[in-house]
Amino acid sequence: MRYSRSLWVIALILPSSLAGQSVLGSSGLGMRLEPLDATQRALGGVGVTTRTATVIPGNPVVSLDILAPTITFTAQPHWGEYTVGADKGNFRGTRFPVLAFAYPLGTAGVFTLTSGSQFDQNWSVESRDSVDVGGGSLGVTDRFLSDGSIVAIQAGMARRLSPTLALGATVGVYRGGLSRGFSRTFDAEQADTLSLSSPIDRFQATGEWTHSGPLASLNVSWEPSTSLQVGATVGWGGTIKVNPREGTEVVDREVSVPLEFKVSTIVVLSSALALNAGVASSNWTDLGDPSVDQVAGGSVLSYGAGVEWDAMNLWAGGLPLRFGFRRSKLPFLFLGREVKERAISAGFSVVMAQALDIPLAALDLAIEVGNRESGDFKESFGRVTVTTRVGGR
Amino acid sequence: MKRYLLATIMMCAGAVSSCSEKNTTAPDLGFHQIDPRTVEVFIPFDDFVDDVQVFGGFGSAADLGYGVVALDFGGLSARTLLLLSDFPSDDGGEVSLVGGRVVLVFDTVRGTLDTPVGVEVFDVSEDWHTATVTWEVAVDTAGDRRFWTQPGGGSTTSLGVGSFDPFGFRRQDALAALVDSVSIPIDSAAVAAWENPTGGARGLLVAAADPGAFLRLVNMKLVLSTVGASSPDVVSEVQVPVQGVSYITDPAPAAPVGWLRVGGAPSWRSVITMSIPLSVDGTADLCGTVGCQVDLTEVDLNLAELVLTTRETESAFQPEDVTRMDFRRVLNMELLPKSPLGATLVPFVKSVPPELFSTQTGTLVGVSLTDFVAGILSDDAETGTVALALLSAVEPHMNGFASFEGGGGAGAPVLRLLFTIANGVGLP
Repeated sequence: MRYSRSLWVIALILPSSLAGQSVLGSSGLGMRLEPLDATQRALGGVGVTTRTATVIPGNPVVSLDILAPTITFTAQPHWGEYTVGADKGNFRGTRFPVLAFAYPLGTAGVFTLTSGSQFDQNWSVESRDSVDVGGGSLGVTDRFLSDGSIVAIQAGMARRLSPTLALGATVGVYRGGLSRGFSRTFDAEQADTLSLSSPIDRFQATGEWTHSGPLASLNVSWEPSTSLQVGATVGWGGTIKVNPREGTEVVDREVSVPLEFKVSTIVVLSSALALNAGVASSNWTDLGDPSVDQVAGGSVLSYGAGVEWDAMNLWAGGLPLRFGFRRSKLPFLFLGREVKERAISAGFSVVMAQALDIPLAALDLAIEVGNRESGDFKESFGRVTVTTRVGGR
Repeated sequence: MKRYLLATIMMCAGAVSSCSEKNTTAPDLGFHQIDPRTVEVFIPFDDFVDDVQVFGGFGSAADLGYGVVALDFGGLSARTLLLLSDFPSDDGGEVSLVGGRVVLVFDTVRGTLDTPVGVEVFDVSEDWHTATVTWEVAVDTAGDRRFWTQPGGGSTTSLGVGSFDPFGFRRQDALAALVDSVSIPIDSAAVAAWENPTGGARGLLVAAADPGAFLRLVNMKLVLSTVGASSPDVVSEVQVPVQGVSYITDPAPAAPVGWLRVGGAPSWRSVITMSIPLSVDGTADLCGTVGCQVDLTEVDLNLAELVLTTRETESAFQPEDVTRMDFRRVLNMELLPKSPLGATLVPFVKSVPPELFSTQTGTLVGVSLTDFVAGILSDDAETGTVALALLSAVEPHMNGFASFEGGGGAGAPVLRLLFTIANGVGLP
């Protein structure tokens, strides 16, 4: 009860949608946002294997080592700038990619409830032009604003079948909303006659849609030895239905989200040093809607790797340091060109409280710098991911 | 556990509250397919105006609260009438009126200020009705219409003369204050002739004595000197309250023929009966070379504006101040000119400077009707035919009025429409 109340309190302070992403997410379902916490971001991981017991949407297996009910919350401020030809601009914002709760079922099982980001469509374009009015030229500003996101709400369970093998599964739903609007505003400056002093109303056209659909995943983790952990996840995205809200022109769509395969491993090289590597693959073709198929990115491969060095102590526990890199291809094209993202990362964790060597409260932090590009459009970004894990009774 | 949970919530709240979002705002790279096209269309007078009527007589010069005195000012003569109330009685012979003075306070911003202007005060012996009095008619109420015995205030008796010279002192001392009033003494004989044993109302008339003069009389008072029977050495002053102020003009403005008039005192209104077109010819940008009709009920209207062209107002009635114009719907055409009017249709009152009706005639003045026209176009119950009254926002506001060209010639009113057509907002 206490945890549900806490979740409710946190939900109250969350913004209604993720915000401030790249214009590169202007096609298809938007920019892919993986619901990863700070440890995975720092290690370049794909969210399948981890040495740190945490809660990751779509993979309850990584929560099996949690011994007390735990809430995690991830905040992700980001910033960046883009260049396209001679034009430059910048953006910034904060999103909240993971809100999760895990409840241990004995020592061999766990139940998770998570909300994780999937796609983001928050971007805008703006241009200046002029129209002929009253024999003169009147400046106008055209602005197209897209504001929307899709999140996945999932319930999952995992169970350790043997000391080396664990299985998990999740089921859930996509939920999201999209608001797209175009406006043309007219300059207020007065031309050569009084007649232009009348205010000119702006032109505005809008549309709003909702997203819904099912999703599920299967997860497996195998630890053949204390120095090796291998994990895999198959994510089924089902069909996302995009339905217009009342008052919006009836343009609806159904997009089949392809299966996504993730494989990851952790190799413990010494008591202080571990190597993490993972790969995710999905095939974004034949998505069920011709207009989406036109911008589908085809085979999408993401991979990353990192090292974790855990030899120092701080406050109530260890101070693991992490370094990694990540390469990704995004599922949708931008102006007909592939979109690629690459980033290097670093991070650490601070244990604020622990019992029996089990962290009860910890703060994970990751810093990434990277870039995205698609043809002439180039974007550099910085991203800080902060995850707070709080556990106990 | 609790404190960490609290710390978490506080940190999250801090993170959220410190967020300042700035969207990626890229230049338009052409990846949205809205294709907006903004088009301006002028609808000529004959294509949307069915009828124009100009009505006068709204309000009264008495509503202005000030008077006007003029003598052959651009052909205009004007006199101010003041109705005095509670004229002191003799209190059974206990009080005697031994003299008095009339104090006239003039506007020092508007009018003939550069030269001294002679003004004269008269006693008015005939009754008049403040709200309906004109140069010719003293009373014009329901069932009671009486003319002056002599136009311009009837039979009057001069009480005294004075000279208004606002720069009189400043001609001798550059730092001296402006003079804004004239005090005209009234001799004891004239006051004694007034003496009314029962008290009651009397009237005064103020007129200009010098041709070409125009003054606005903003305040006036009559101060009488009295002596009591019990103390004949003590002279007291009693101010007589002013019950009403009005002014009469010669000539009265003739009704316009073929043009529009707004304002004046009493005020004029111009009623335009128009049919809002439901479609217009498309431009080449919209239709290409084959031409097409644009259904205005389907477009997004950015501006609907009635464009008027100023014309020269008769010199006697040149507006002395900014004309603040309003536009309201006539709610019942059959009741014109007394029809009730609807709420204002303009987003803000249109202020038109006076020079647009004298030295800058031919200037275009637009009155925005965007919301009104958009409402007509979107309301299936509307026929598109409406009558609109163009009037002064305050009736009356001043003696002068605004004039605009009517139909049938250059400068006729036109309806300007600015609308935008675009593709719908769809999914990416």
